[in-house]
Amino acid sequence: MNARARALAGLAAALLAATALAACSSSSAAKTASGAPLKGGTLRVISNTGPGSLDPIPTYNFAGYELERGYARQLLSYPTTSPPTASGTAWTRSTTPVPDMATQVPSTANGGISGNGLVYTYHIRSGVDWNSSPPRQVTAADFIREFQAFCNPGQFPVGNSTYFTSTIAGFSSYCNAEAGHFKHAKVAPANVAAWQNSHPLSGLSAPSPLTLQVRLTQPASDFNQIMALPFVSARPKEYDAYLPGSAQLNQHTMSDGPYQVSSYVPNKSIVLTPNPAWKQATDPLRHQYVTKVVVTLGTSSEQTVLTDLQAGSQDLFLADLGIPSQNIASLQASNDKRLRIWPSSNLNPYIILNLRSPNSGGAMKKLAVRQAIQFAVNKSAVVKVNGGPAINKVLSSAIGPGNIGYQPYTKYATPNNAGNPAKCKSLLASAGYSHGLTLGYLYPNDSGDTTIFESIQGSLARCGITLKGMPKPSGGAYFTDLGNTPQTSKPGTWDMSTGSWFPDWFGNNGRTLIQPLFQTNCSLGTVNAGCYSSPTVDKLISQALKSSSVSAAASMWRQANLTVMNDAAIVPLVSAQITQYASTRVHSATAGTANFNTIVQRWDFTNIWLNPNHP
Amino acid sequence: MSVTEIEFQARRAEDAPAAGIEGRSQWRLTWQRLRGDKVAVASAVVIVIIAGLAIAAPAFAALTGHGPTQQFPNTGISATGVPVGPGKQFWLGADELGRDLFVRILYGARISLLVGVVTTVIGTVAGLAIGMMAGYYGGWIDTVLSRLTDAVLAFPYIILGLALAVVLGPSLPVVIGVISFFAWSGIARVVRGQTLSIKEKEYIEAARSVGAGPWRVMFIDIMPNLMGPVLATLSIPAAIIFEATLSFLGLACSRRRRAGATCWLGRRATTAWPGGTWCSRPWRC
Repeated sequence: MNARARALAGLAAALLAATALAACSSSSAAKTASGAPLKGGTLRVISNTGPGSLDPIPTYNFAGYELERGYARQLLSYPTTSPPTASGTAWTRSTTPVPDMATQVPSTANGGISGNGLVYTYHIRSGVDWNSSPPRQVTAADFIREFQAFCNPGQFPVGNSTYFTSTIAGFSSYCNAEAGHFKHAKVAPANVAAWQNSHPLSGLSAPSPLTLQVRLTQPASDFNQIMALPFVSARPKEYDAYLPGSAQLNQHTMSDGPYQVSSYVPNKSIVLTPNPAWKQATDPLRHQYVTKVVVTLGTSSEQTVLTDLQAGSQDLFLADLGIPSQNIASLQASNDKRLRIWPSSNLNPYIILNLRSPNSGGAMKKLAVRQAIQFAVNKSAVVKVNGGPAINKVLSSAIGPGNIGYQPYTKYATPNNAGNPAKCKSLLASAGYSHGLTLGYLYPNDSGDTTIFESIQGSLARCGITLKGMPKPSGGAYFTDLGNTPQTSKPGTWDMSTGSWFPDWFGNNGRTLIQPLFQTNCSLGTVNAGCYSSPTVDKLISQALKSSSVSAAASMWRQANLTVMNDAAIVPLVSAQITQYASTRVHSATAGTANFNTIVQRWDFTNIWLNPNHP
Repeated sequence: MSVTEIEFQARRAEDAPAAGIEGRSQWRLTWQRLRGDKVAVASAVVIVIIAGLAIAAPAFAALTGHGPTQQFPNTGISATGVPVGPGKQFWLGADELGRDLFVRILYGARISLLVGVVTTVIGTVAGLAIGMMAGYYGGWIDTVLSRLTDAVLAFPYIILGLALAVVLGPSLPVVIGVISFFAWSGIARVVRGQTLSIKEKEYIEAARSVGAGPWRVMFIDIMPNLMGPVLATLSIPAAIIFEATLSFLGLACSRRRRAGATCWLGRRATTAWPGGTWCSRPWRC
């Protein structure tokens, strides 16, 4: 064979090999994309300010929950599923706690809840280890340590102590004792740990290293939901060397989950890598598909988020970001598979009515005026200006679909939810405002809330109610005016306001929905910003909270909701659904394209794989 | 032509009454010059049309059945929340709240023109007064007023506008005040220079010699000669652009759509408010 012939033969062979290789690659990619997860790759996540803290105790935001899913396990948690709507069996399954580190969810049937409903027993799985050197079993004492650190005197106590002080025996007195001691004592990690370790919390005990018992002050049908909160994560003894939530602790986090924090540069990046001490056999909820998770902080523009994801330079965005809502319609129209819309159940936004305002002759104190407002608001317009019906579901009551006690409420129904100006005028006239009235409306001065206000202003103008806008910086004067004016001598600072409420869990959640919003509590910083007060509702709340039966509690929450709406305490507007957008290489195990975890309300990256898995 | 005919025409011309030489005023000269300038005429026509549309805004509102602040979410916004484009019902489309853009622009033009004219008048009056005093009196008065003029010219007007809006709240009087505050300085500088030149003229000397006081000299003898340069410096367009800038930044009254506000709302429609997820309860965000 001469040289030319040899070269041609070589070229042909090379071409043949390349073709074969391409065929193999494409067939293997198609196989993994449609079926088994592909391991490897770096999941690139874009974020704004990030979680703020890596410590589960003070972390009280979705961005933090999203990351904790990888390195901080709880006794109970929620499965990763993809319910199509906020109702039905799929939704119920996704909002019902399941075992995480515990071997089972305590119930009266399995003996995990005592006969009187006051003692809950959790058995911890054997083989769940900390990524210490050498790996160490997570114990009941680690959970007790977490509870004891809730009321720490440092800068970062637990995000919400009320759930625990109102249910666990001795918790309230424990917190009071700690606060009293550190009023005069030095707040330093060693001192705090020493006090907490020498003062047992009477409602918590560990009959064995892998058994945690919790004693309650009264039965609570939602206690397992409380225990499924990310606050209730195991806490290693190494954390005694740091104050909870401190910058030092952020640099020394430990893990009992599939990933560990290998690097944290504040305001810059967070990197998670696989935890070698984690075992799949001990974790029914998570996986370890990707090799690395890199969270890049510092992006604030939602348009940038969308652009980066579409270009493939990032894979997901963290919960402190979003995509522009005005792009959603076009993404849906183009059937963009990277867009996901997940169900949620919240009051986001709603209108708070200030029942203590003396303005306009005490107009807000009059039921007829509040009912007139209910009829006046054009909720379908709010849906449109807030991103469209795909991500906004009209609400008619304080309890939305997907939560116990929900019942459609039709007293203030209007055709197509477009409002009824005539009915509004008639009610105003009956209250002595036949010539209309002027009310002050407080709202955060970002563009979205401004548009919502203008829409409401327009719909109320149709029946003679003039709304004077009071835009205030979000996070500053807005919240100060909202939560302080009932307590100050200026209850008439505002008459109506935009509110936004996400419950901490769904399903059996009256404690995190009806109670904070409507139980009598007209004090500084109250969440019941309108100072609504009803002895009937207070009694129903009290009964529901101490009921050991979910169905009984549901009945009471339903009645409370009915009373609140009959009193027209608030104007529910819409329940905002959750939008997510991911790059094309993000895949998950659930049917369709969604991968949703209730408590996180976002992607569960421990159930994501990447294809292609490079980078 | 015969000699007889020439003689006849000459006799006719001699017998005709003497015709007066007609003088033309400055205004007539200006008008004739403008009339010959096609670009100027076209510009004037556009300005008249805009002003006419602005004045007729209520008529257009009645014609379309859309008030400037009325919202039509059912017809002006699609089911998915996208504002409708130009069409039979909304001639220039609708905004994100379903309001008629065409009507709002007309009403906004009224305010823009008002602000432009009012601020220019205020600025001109102040600039004339300060410039004439500085140029006529000279000395320390000139020094003080000139330095004040320099300071105002150098001041960043956007920052002052923002600061005033934060303290006083955005409103039309604040916008007029901010623009007027900066409008006089350019005119004052021109007027001062012209005054320095004019005050050396003989007729000014003559006026002083017959006992005319400084104010009489300034306002009767000097000021009429400043009208040309002042008119050339008139800044109605600049004032409108300035007002549009402040509106774009959200410093002006938002009840009407003005040029800047149109751009601002257009920008807002393409940038974000959170998509589907809001800040959770305020105390934990």
